[in-house]
Amino acid sequence: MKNAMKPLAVMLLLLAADLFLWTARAAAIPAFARRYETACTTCHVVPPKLNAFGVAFRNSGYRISADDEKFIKQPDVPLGAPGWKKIWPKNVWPGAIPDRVPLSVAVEMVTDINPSDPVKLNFAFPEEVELLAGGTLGDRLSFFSDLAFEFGDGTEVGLERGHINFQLSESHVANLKIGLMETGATPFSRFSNRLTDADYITSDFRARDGGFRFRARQQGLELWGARNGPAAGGFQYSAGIVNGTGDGSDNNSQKDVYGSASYKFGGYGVTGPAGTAGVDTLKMTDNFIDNSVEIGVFGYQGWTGEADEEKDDFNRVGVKLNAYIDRLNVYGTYVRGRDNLPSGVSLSSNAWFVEADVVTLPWIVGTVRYDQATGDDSTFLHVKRVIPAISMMIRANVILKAEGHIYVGGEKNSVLNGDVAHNKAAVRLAFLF
Amino acid sequence: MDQKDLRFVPHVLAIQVGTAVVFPNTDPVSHNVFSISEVKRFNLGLYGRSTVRRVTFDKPGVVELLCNVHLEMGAYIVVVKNGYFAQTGSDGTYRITGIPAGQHRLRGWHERLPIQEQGVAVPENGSVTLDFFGRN
Repeated sequence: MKNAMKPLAVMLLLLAADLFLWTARAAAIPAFARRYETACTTCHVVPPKLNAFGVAFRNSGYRISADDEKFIKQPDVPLGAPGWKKIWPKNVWPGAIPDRVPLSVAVEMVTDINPSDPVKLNFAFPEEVELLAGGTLGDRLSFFSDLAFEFGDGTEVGLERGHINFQLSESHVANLKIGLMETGATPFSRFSNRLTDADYITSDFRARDGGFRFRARQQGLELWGARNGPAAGGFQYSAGIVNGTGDGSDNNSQKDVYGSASYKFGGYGVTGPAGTAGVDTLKMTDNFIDNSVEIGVFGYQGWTGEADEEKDDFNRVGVKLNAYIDRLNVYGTYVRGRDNLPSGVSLSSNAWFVEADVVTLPWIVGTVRYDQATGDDSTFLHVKRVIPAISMMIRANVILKAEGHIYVGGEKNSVLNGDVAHNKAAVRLAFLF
Repeated sequence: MDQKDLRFVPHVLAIQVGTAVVFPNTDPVSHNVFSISEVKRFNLGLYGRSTVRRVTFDKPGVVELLCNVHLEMGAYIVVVKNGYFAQTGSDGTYRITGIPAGQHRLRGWHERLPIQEQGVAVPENGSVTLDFFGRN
């Protein structure tokens, strides 16, 4: 007990003594704030966690549903007068590009506290710099990219995401996304839901050494869509086909496939205001309240292994729930996995989490999450973990966060993502511009 | 409607049905003015500097103009039925005078926003204010 309390005490001391700012892996992009001359809180609870308006903005192809024109302060540069659309296909369809390069920068600085490590206190200033870009290319086309530079023992550069989206239907019920992406089968996004540095265990766990996990971005195509319900809320779905090897080249001819579907009861529409009501103004306050319940299911079927070898045939299925009650957001998911190895061994795995986020003041969100994962494989980590965290927007684009990872059961010294799973804490600082 | 600096000037022109519009080319390059709008289809062909061509607009509606040489050039001619119309200034304001007293309907057109229509009661004397397309 004494050892478990120690890192927490150290974390709190640092919080009081040194106001560093922190942000999770960034997916909030100030380029949108510039385009509409609005604050981050229009779309985010605390960046990057999206509020209901932000979800509708994303589902509308990074537009403000049918009222985008009213709010844009940086009109696009047309690549041909709009009238040419009526003459197509006898000419090139006129598109558009953003008036300014929609680039944003996120800088993240970390203070890690690891009582079990030889280096118990480490500053990573900065730990990561991300270049984020997103926007529209005229009507029905949008894009997003995220290039990350990580600094540690050397610098690593990686493309976290890079995709283009084609809106196939007049409404937002059918879209085709192509590129490197977080799959739609991922129950809760590390880029638009997560407030902690620790990823959801359901995204992080591998059923076996080197096996699949949801958090790996994949290259492929995804058909997805969203549609408001009669009383707002609404339906969302995705179906995709991907390499299955993350950001690397595929190593076999079989592609992974996945699907997801969810329905939100009540609350703001998944693509915008209910019915024919438009967006009258960009609200920047109290956007975290969205009384609603969303229920969803998802599944992923994949094959891993070299082209000329027998494959690991695996699947993941699960359910998820996301409930908003005034300032409280309670959500979680359960994932069940099955891996059929070439040796004939069949492994099962289970992972789940439940998290509660509470907006105490509009700029402070308290979080507590319980993660659990179990599996058959001898290398599988068995995790029972509690993560308390607090996120504070010192400014809309400057975020301070502190969190602890407390292992309450399972194998405390198991390997998770290459790091030994031991109690630790972190204070993070990030700013975006 | 002029063709100057590779643009139609003005970008939007409001006229009454039956009006003839002249299209001078004051650019040093040739232009072509055409429209495939149902209200008025026409093609003035390619013509050079200082040439003026003319089109009469005999039906109400919106005519979208293009230039076959310069794809970025586009403009609108809004043909209205009666003389009670106005084009907003750069500050977004407009003024329509001489409207008979009584109940009327006023329609607002914008090239990128849906048409808005509002009822208005015009008094015998004085004025009434009506806003369209509130922007944020």
